[in-house]
Amino acid sequence: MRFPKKKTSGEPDNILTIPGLQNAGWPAFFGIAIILVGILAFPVAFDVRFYFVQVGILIMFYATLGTAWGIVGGYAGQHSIGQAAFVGIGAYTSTLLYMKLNISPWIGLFAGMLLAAFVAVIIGYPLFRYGLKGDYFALGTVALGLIIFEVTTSFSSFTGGSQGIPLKYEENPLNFQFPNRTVYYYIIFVIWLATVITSYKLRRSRAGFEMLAVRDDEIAAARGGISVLKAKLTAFVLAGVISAAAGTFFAQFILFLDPGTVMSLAISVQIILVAVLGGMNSYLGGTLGAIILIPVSQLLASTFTERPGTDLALYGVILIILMLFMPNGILGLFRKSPKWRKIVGW
Amino acid sequence: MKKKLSLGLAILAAFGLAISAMPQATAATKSIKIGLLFPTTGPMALLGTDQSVGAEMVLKWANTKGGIKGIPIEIFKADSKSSPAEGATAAQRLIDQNGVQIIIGSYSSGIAAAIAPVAQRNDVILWEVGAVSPAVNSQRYSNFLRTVGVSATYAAADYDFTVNFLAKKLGKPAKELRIAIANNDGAFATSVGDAVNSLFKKKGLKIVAKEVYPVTSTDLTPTVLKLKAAAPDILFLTPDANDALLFWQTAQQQNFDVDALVGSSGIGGAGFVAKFGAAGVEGVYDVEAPALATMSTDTLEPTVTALTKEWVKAFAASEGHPCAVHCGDGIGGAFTLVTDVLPRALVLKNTTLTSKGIIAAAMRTNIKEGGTPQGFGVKFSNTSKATPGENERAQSVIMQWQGGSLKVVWPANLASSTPAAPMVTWAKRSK
Amino acid sequence: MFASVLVSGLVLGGIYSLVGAGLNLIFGVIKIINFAQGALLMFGAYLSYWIVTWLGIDPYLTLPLVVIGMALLGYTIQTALINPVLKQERTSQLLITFGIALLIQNGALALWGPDIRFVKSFVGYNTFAFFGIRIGVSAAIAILGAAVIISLLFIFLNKSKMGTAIRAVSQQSDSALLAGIDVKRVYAIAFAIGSAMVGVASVLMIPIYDIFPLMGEQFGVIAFIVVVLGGLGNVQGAAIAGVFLGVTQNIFAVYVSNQLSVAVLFLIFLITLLFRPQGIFIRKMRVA
Repeated sequence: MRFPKKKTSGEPDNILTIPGLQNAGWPAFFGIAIILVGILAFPVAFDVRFYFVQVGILIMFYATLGTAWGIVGGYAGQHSIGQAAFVGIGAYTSTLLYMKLNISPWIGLFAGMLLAAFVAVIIGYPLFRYGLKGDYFALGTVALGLIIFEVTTSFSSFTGGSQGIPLKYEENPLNFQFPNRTVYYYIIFVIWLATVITSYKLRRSRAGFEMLAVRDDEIAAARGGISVLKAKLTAFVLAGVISAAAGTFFAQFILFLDPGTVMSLAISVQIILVAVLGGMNSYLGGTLGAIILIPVSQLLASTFTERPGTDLALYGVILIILMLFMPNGILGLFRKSPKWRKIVGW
Repeated sequence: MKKKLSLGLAILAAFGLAISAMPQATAATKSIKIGLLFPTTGPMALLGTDQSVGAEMVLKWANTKGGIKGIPIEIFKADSKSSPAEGATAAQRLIDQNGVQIIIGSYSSGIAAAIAPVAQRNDVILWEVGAVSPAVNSQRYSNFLRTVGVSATYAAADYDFTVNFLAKKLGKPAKELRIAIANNDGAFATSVGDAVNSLFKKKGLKIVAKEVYPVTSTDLTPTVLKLKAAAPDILFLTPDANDALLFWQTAQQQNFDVDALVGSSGIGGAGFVAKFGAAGVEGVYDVEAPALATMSTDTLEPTVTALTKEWVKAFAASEGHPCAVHCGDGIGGAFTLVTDVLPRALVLKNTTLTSKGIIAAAMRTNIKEGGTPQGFGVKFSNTSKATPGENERAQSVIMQWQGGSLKVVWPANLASSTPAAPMVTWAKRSK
Repeated sequence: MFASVLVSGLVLGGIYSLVGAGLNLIFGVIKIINFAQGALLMFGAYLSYWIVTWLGIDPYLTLPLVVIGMALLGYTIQTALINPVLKQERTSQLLITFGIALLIQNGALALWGPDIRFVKSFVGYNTFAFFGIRIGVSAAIAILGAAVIISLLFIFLNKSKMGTAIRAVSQQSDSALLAGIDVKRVYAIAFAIGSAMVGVASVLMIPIYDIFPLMGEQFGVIAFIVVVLGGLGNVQGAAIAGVFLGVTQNIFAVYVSNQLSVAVLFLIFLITLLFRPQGIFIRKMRVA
């Protein structure tokens, strides 16, 4: 790979310049390498207790979901508040196949992703075709998420309903279960990294460009020959598929599944929070948001144990303050700088 | 040469002595670390907190007695936030950051099912005092021990009461009774409602209605109207804390009369009688583990009686409402742990507390009826049974609101009062 | 039985209209997806409860105090927390309301515990009965109150100067700004009035529903359905939409599926958003 010389100023608007880490130069590459190695080494290097590894897993889980949301919300501008429905589809598909038909969750993983893609097309097509925009789109996704939640609870003979499904405990890697729990850390690492790279590459691709164009001005984009429907639908499906994969992972990790665990409105909001706090337009946004929010909520939970509800109330206060002062997220703080935008892909 | 050999031997011997004198990896336990993991926020907070507080009271009491065989208990609390995933994370946190050996939980079956594998993997005991779904330990974890009865015990108590009391009092053969079942679609209610349904159907009783309403429902009038149209003699209702109140209010407003209403959860709660008054709830039955504040202590062993009364009083003082069923779950479960299982575990393993020791001790538990605050005995099923770790002597009892108190009326050996039927109609109910 | 179900649906629908009335101003004018709607309802309920407990008066009499308290709360929330981020992404605003909801709900839990509280009004649980149909007196009062408050809102929006300013801002905030209207102040007043209406809803509802930290959750979501179905800013439309939803929910519960009776509301919501996002009653297309 050829290493960059630093570009000077005079760049036109962000949508036309393709962001790339090339512009960041040597230090950035070293930095990235060190960070990745650090993440990989973390569980084994310092003999950390598993709880911290679990927090790391949660961070990467939400980072994956937040980055996925960034594709549909940040790039394509469609702020979906029903993302958790896809997490649930992935989790339930692989779990039901495993518990009822003894099919390995590795296969179930792909089955879930396929089903999520299918559902995303079925749902997304009417939503986008009828031009649901802005608030109405957001509310529509809320409605969808709630419908899927209630339906999953109602068809309890099939889905286990509100009582949920405890997963078979067998320490069999072929069935996506590992005696050494740290393996889960590495699996979610791979999923997360793949998602971030996908988001990065998408941003630099023609498809990503089209999504951004649609986000910024639908009518102009359509006049420019871009298929608005295709751009939005692609983003929606991609986000759904990634979410489903994460859902399967989560079910295999927690070994218990019920509607509230994977497809509640609260989870959908948590995903958006993570993405927005980090900076929804950047492929790094979801990750940054998760790195901050998950440890904060865990810390609050372990500190304020006396009066139940205190930690959540404080979390609410922190959210309000963060959104007041950084409504574009952390990575959005420097969005006026073209060089910054190029690196983080704003 | 001989000198070197004997010197070498001496050094070896000294070394050997030194090693054997060194503290072993499993040294004598200095403190017993117990985690209380209940949903204290979210929709389950009301009753989850009761279980947690009840258990905590007993643990603290044990410490005032010098702990277990002189070893103090360190108590750690965590909130599962009414969510299984959060429960699993909180369990891991209790294990890794606080080093707990025992987790007392969980109120909800879903949360219990998520904590159980965590406990098993980390060789920590999950001491379950609240969840009732039989599926919680479908994986047959050895580290799972449950003190309360599963939903099948609710159904068994209901059936026994119906066939052996209600049928006679209402003047109809059991198989001719019109029976309705209603529950919300939450985990607990569904588990009990389904258990009642399947048991009664198996025994050939007539189910004229089975209504399941969404737990998020804002209006129970449709449910009440449908039940009313089915004209049941007996209604088995399984709500949660707040829809219990809404149901009864709706039943009153729609003038829905039944000869017997057997409720659970919120129906036996302090809020129920507080809202409707003693006359307003007179005659309503409630099936579950007994409410400590109003059950008869006549059949309990004297030491247990004295302690239970003390705890009931302390609970009411600190929580502002009486110690009912869920408080009882916490107290009863913790009682067995600190007075029976843990002391035996320490003796068995020579003052070192290990999970295997606790399990072995639990398998020897043999508490007769009357030996625990909740009135039933304790004997844990062993691994030869279909579901290990369950309390074979756990019972649900039938209680009835009489004069503003929830009294145990069935079975007779635990009863503090006799049941009355049929229930007074709304029209005749005094205000 | 059908008549009973129908009437119960009308009653429920009246309550939905009541709950939606407050959101009409907040969502309709400020265009913010207010995740804290249910929490505000709960706050109003607790406010009334504490006044009843301290002063020993009938819950209905707490109305003036609750209305004032809620209006103040609403004004403060808008001024301090939402106005500063008006020009930002909608989603960021939405997240602030989510934070407010967390704070209010869990603050209530931390301060007052999870116990279910209730108040009893002078009408108790009495009912009116006619032709075998029964409705609670407190429910009848709630519907009457809903009708009154919605009519008052209608008059206010159409006949008063501030009301007209609010409508102007709601329809074309940029032009309103040009016309010299202090848009931020109008927003604050709209949120205040919207919150006050939520307060009215709380007071009318607590003789019927019990009080606990999560009591408002479901109503918060349904308020959105009412508002969208009726058309943003369309006060009478929201009233009709609320009744329609209540009737549908109860008839569906009895004759189709009890378990899915709440899900069907979300389905209606979705269909409305897809095919008639402007609501059933407004003819021209909204620009979101």
